[in-house]
Amino acid sequence: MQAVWALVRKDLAVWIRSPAVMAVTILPPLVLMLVLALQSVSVTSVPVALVDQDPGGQAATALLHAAEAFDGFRPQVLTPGAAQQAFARLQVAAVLTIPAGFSANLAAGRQPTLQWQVRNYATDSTNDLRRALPDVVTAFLQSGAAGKNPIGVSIAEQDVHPHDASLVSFEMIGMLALLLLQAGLINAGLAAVKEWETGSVKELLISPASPLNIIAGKVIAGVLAADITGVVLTAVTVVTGLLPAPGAAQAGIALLAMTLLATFGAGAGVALAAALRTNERMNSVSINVSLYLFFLSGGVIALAYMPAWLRLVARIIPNTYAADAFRQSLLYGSTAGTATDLLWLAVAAAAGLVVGIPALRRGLAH
Amino acid sequence: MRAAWAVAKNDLLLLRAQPVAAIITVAVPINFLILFVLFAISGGVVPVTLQAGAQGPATRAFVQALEGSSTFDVHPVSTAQQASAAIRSQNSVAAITVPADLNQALRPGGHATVDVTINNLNGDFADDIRRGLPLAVSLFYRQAAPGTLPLRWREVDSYPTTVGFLAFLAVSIQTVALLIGGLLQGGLGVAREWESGTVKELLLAPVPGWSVVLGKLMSAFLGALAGAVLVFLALLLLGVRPQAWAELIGVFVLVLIVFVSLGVGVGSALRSRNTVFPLAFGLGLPLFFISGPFAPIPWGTAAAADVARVFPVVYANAAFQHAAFGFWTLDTSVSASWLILAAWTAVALAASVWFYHRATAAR
Repeated sequence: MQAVWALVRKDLAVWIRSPAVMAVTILPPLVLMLVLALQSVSVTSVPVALVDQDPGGQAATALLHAAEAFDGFRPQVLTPGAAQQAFARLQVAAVLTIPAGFSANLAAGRQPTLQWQVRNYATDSTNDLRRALPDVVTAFLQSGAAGKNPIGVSIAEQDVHPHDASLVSFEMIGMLALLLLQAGLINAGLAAVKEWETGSVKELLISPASPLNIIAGKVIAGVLAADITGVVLTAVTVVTGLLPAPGAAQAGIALLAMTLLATFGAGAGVALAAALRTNERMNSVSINVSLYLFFLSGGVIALAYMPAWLRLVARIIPNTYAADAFRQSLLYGSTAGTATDLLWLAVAAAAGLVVGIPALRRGLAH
Repeated sequence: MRAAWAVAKNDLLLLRAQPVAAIITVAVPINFLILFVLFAISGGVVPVTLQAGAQGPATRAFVQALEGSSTFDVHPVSTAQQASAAIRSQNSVAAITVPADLNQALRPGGHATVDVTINNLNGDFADDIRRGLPLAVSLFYRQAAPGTLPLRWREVDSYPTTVGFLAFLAVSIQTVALLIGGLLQGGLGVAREWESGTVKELLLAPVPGWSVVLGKLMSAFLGALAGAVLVFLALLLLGVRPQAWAELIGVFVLVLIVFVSLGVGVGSALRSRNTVFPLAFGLGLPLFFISGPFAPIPWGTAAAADVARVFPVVYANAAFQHAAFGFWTLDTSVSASWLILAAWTAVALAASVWFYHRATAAR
């Protein structure tokens, strides 16, 4: 046991003094987080020009206000010429034109026609725009500005969670799972590879510590380093307001899920280290493995949005269960379903160790 | 020139001698394509269950409206329990219940309530449902009772067809393949000389420094080309059919020279493969993402667009999209963008020579 702790202390000391290892661990999730935030800004709220060619009309003004109040795009009221110029220069993605005589025609029951000019490059942003106009029209009709609202269908909404989490917070949870797996893989894997690269593996082998103690030391150090990274990131997100402060039970569940995912990562890490044995290969393979597992588990998308075949794949990847446990405990303040998540994570951690320990043992024996 | 060929040949032979490292580096761009495809195939439409109280024409029209809204992937269920189970098992994110008296809503003064339970995982996902339902309701009225709505709207599209999200994104991935592949191949090839100490031999050789740089550029170009061609073949498999082959090849070559040259410069400056690797990803990916792979940059934040305009990635993305789909997605003109790309090529080539000279002079 003493030998195990000595190895854990040594590997943690090396980890703390290795900014390159920390960078390789933290950089991919951070970069991914940054790019997803940038992507969400560019595709969720596009600029739209509003043109009112019926300036004195009461209904036209009400429709303009409904469009200005809509939070699905960034509206700007422009003259017809300025709007066309902005559209041609790609400064706006669409132009909504309220035609001249709109209010009078509406009052007379002559069904005036709005023009919705759309820059239809790709389906994603175009469908957002296609959804936007009916929403604006519905809000306008519900305001009563067009007389009696003819839409007799109302929507009664019930939500599963008491409030909507923000998209960034939701994505942050996926990143946390990626970070922990990456940290487990890299920290345990690089700690093992380093022994081969520096030749210190010989010293370990002639020491009185058994191979199992050596492996246990590597795995525990990898898990602890990953846990420290995960807890620090979680604390930062709580302090910055991205995640609410968890209760004791929720924090305990999150920490347990972190440890189990990191154990799976560390087991896989030492197995890869035994096979790859160089820093360069270990870095690139572990980044690829963790990114593949991240995207195959849905990454920052909910499981339900994935195609059926991908959902099946995701259900055998530990990130899926870790992300669910993190979301329930850290984002929604709930414990629902976390027992199942933790059970699957425990199975994954055991599988990681079952693969990793014999692989590294064989590596040391050679 | 002979020395340049010798350096290039040596580097290519080294790639053959280290097949694992070579495969990993060449496979990086195709990896990105696969990862982005995994990202893009999820999240296009919202999976919902639909429980209908009756099977009349009104219900059929409402289901058609839901399906025609480009928002929902509708899965019919018979009971509320099945709908709840689908949400719990994460096979759907909302349960829509259409009332038996939906046809009442089509009569003057009539009313019906559609119940929806939303698994509001986050505001963005939930808003898609909240915005998709009014669209479905308005489509329902347009179809089932055309004269009911007091106003109409007409969509005027700029292009005859709307490109699928996956194809639109995939074309820009060609840029990231060239970007990451070029930086890695250029950077790793040069940094290796310092790590293995063979830079001394290059310095002692009776050849000018520029010929060493040229050799490095040629070998890196070929290495990165292999990865980029793999990505291009994958794009063809994904159904992308370029409209302008000459433009595509032109931007392909020009952009590859830019990134390979920058890679050689970065490798000379850093002299460590362990640093080149994360730097290629750390710099390359954010640049790619702010450079319009999802939508034109003027539609995003002004600060990100201003940063993007400084670098060549945004012009490369726009040129690839233009070559593939025939539309231009940038507020800089086509000719100005090509001029900027040409200027970047000259600057990057000069930078690769300058950084190598600076690094070798420092020794």
